[in-house]
Amino acid sequence: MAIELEKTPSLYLPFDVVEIILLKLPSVKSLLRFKTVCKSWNTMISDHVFVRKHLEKSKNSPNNNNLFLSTYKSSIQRFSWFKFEGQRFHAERVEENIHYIYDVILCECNGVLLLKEPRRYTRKYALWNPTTRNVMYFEGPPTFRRDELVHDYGVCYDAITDDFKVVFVYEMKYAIYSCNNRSWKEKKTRLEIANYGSHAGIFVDEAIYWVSKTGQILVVYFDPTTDELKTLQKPEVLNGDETSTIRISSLRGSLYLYCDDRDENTVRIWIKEKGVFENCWNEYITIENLMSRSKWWLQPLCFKKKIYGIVFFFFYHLQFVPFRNSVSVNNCPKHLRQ
Amino acid sequence: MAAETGTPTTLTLKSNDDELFSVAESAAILSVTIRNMVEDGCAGGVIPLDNVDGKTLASVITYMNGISAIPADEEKKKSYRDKFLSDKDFETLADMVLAANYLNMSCLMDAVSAKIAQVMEKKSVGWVRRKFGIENDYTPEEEAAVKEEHKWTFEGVETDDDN
Repeated sequence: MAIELEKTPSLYLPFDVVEIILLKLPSVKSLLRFKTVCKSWNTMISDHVFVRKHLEKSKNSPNNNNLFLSTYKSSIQRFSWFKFEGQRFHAERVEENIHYIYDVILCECNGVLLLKEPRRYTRKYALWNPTTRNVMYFEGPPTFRRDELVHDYGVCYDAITDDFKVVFVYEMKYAIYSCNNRSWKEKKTRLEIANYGSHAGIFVDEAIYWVSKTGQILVVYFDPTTDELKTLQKPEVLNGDETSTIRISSLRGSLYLYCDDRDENTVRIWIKEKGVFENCWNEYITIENLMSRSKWWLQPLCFKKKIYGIVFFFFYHLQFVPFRNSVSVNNCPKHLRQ
Repeated sequence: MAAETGTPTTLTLKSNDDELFSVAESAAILSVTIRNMVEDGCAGGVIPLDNVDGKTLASVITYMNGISAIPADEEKKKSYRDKFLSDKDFETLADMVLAANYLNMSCLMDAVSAKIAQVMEKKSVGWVRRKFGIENDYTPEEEAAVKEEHKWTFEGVETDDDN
């Protein structure tokens, strides 16, 4: 064996430089592994400010906004990661370290999923972070009747108290579960809330948003700092328009509202200005010549600068199918064409 | 600014092992540390950079010249950075991250720290300790407990390449 020169690891990187490097680690897996390096790294990586910074970085990363999860009820594998790369989907296996009865995904917040068991009037829920593999099981609000219908679900992260809050919205009332306190709080609301489209609240811009329809279509949001439910004005041109479908989505940390005008075969999209709750909508894009009378939802799921701004997907039997503007109708699987 | 004639101003930088380097001011001011010295008028003679050795400084200057020759096109700049860092080993990258931090060059800092993170991604805890010169301050019991908590994160780790 050749005699090696003694290499002294004299290298000393200051703590702030180490932090900058660790924040750039692409996977949570490696971060969790490096907690074992030494005590000070463990403290840094466990700190919730660090966690938040890392999350913000990965949220804003152009490679990371198109990762999502879906269920395949017919197969043994309940969950998969999907990544939209090079205009194709890649599915990855997810380690399902969660009890098998929880297979309905209700909503998502910062990579944490709210799940329930499939029975309609269940009290069994779970919060699951597939990236860190942390699981927490809990029961629905104890004083509410089992058969009371939950119109909307949401999960949010309250940065001030470093707490995840689960919100169940019923007609004229709602309940908030604090993960820190492990307890429910019930509140009344004057807002008449009815489910419209998706039950899943969108956590973005420090609040949970839903679209609700009673007489008119409303955008409702939950503010975790006050635990209040409030309404958000729609873009002005949509006032009085009750025929179009309105949905919301989040892309790159902003709330998007999109309006599907079936007669005109167009979708118009607005972006909400961050942190602003009045006159907050800026018109973003109008997509024309969409396939008419489609029975499937359109949902913008990721943001691709180089294509048309936004990639659309059909939601069909829990399978995601890519769809981008009229040009790509021909790329759709046959059974989706009309 | 010092330059009032049409000829580009050249600065002389001195590493901590006394090597001298000439570099165009327009490229050197990518470093906020150097730019501040120039603006304060302390750049007349030789600029001593006490925290950077000659080998690393030569490399940083290559980067300064290379990146400032590229017009404002973020994609081209990115591909230059990727290529520039592609053949650097861990020790060189570590020296560069320290230099970029000291010189306050955010674009180099970003690129080098991301590269280090990418190199570390699949490495073992032992590899990281050796490369970063970190002493394991856990007792064997404590270490086993932390490891046990995130056991699955030790799957798929690369075999160490530094033995």
